[in-house]
Amino acid sequence: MSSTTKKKNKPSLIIQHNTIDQKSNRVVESNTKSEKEKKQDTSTSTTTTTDLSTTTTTTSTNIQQLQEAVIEETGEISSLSLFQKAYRYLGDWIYLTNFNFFCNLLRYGPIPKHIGVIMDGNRRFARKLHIETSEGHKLGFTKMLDLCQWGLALGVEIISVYAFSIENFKRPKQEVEYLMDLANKKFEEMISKTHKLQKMGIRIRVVGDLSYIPEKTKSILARAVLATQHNTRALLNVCMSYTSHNEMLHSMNTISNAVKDNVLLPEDINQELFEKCLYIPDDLDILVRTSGEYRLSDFMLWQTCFSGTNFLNVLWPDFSSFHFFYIIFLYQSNYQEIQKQRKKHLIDDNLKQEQIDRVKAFQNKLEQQHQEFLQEWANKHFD
Amino acid sequence: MHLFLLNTSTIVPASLFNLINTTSTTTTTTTTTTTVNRSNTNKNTTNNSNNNNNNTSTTIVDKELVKYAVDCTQYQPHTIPNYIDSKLESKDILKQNSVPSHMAVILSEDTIIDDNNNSNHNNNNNKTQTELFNRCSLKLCDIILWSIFSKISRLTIFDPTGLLKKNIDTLQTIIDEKMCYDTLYGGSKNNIIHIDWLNNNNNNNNNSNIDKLINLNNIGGIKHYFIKIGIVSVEDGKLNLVDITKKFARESKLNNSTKALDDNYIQSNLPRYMGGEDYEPQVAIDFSNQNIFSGFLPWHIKLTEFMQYGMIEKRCGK
Repeated sequence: MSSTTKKKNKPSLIIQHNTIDQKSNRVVESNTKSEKEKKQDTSTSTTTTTDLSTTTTTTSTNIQQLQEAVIEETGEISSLSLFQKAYRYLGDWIYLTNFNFFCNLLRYGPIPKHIGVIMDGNRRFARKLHIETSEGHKLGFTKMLDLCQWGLALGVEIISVYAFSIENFKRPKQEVEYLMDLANKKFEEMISKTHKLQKMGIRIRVVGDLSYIPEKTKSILARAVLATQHNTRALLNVCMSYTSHNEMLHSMNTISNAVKDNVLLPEDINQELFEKCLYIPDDLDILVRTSGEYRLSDFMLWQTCFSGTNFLNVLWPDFSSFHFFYIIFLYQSNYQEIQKQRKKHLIDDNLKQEQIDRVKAFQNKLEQQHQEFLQEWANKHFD
Repeated sequence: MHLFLLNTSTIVPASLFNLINTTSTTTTTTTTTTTVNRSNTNKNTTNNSNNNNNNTSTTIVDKELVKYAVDCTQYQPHTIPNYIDSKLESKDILKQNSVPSHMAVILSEDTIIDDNNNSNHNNNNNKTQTELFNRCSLKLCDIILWSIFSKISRLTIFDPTGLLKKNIDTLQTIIDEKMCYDTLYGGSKNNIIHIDWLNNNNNNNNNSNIDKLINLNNIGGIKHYFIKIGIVSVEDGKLNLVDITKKFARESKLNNSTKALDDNYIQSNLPRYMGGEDYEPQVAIDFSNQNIFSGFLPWHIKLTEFMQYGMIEKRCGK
């Protein structure tokens, strides 16, 4: 890509300031329903702005229309004093220029196509700040959306995120129910056209063994997936009820069922076909795990075979754009090695034309089935 | 710092580093026991409690450890088993289940292939290649020795180039000679080492021999040590799983069965050097210098802790 075309694609991000309301120990996100609810509360009870004590700014900043955006923000948050508004404006501007600088710097090198993230550390973060774990999960979710924005600004095409593992169903029932509720709320918001993800043009896929998920959540997820289906700028794979072993077994079972039904022959089975039948068919370029654990915990074991690994000691809600740039920088310094290793292990099966045709027909059939599944669940409504 | 939170204290660089710390504490055992700055926080808490309870006994233990530290720094391999045993026994928290039973070692390409050769000197190429190979296998002997005496029962060695696997016979002879017959090394009079090479196909003989030997253990002061070693390369990862899929597809078509593939089927169809009851390594030491996965077996690393040697070494230097 020439430098001129790069400059044309300026990233446009959306600010969000999260504050922790000390009285109720809940996270209040700007620009969302919770902020509006809070405003209504404060207007009726006529309390002052001393409620906003700790501000954790999970910012994603707007480059093209900075002033307008900030005025929009500050227009909504009328409870802030003028000084606080100016302070926030300055902070955003500084953040923006830094973000711009690093973004443009990194764009001169190779940008990863697919990033995978294990978002670990929400509960520890909540304990650190003495808020409930449920609020920690909320912050984690907003951080995930921020990550999408940073990725999009840099040009990353696919981001895969480990939201919920099949093992996590063994956690206490309350927590699991809360997480499903959170998913319900957040994914329902995504269906509307004015949501951040729609504006950014990000397509969502929900990946995993969906049979373990409760029905209401399933229908909301199906609707969210269908709503964002036609966005093309980037792809976000949300792994819910997912383990890598499950994914590989699923792939093997679909292939063997196809062989049994005579759609495919055993000779057609090769590594490429196997990978196409996985939930996530693209290989990872970078794998990130926050909170300092050094395990993979059954996340994309197949796709990480030749990827760069980053085990960071940061908790997930603390993950900032600077950590993100650091990871990309490491990737760029390891790039030659990774490409060398991948080239060595390229498979080149010479398939005959009829084999190729069979495989394509099989793939189309799979996609069709998946689409039907989504439609079926989107049409069911639960209260 | 967080690297040392793992209970695998049997990895020698980490343990040597701790030993260097213990030598410093022997001088100050009377005064400051709580402010010892060690990198392993688990050991920290228990040592503090030990020291608080029983000052005299820990000083004796520390002196012994100092002796062995000195020995180790002069690198006399036959003292290593005692050193490791004393380490394991003196700290009560290190029970058996904190030592991994299956460990993986991921080698980097530089140890096996020398990429900086000129194409002109063909003879030299071969010489340096074999030199590297020999050096690599001798280094592996060290790792195998340490893991034997740390009671790790199974090792999987991953070689991204495939060379070790191709020349596995020479590798086996080199390691067998050094381990079992070289009395200055691990195989001294009182320690006999038996290596079960999982890549070979003689199943039945090995099992019966090992049973006999286990019964003979500790008779006449002779200790028998056992370890299973499997050598793996990149083809054993993804391609193996594809082959298992093919096999299952063919079988299910023939038998027209409706059973689905599950974990057990895959586990029972893995080749001997990758399968068995304990096929998942609990710890993997990564000797490649970059933060890259080099294609290690995807099915096996579900819950494996990865330790990167590059990172540990830097901390020892501090």
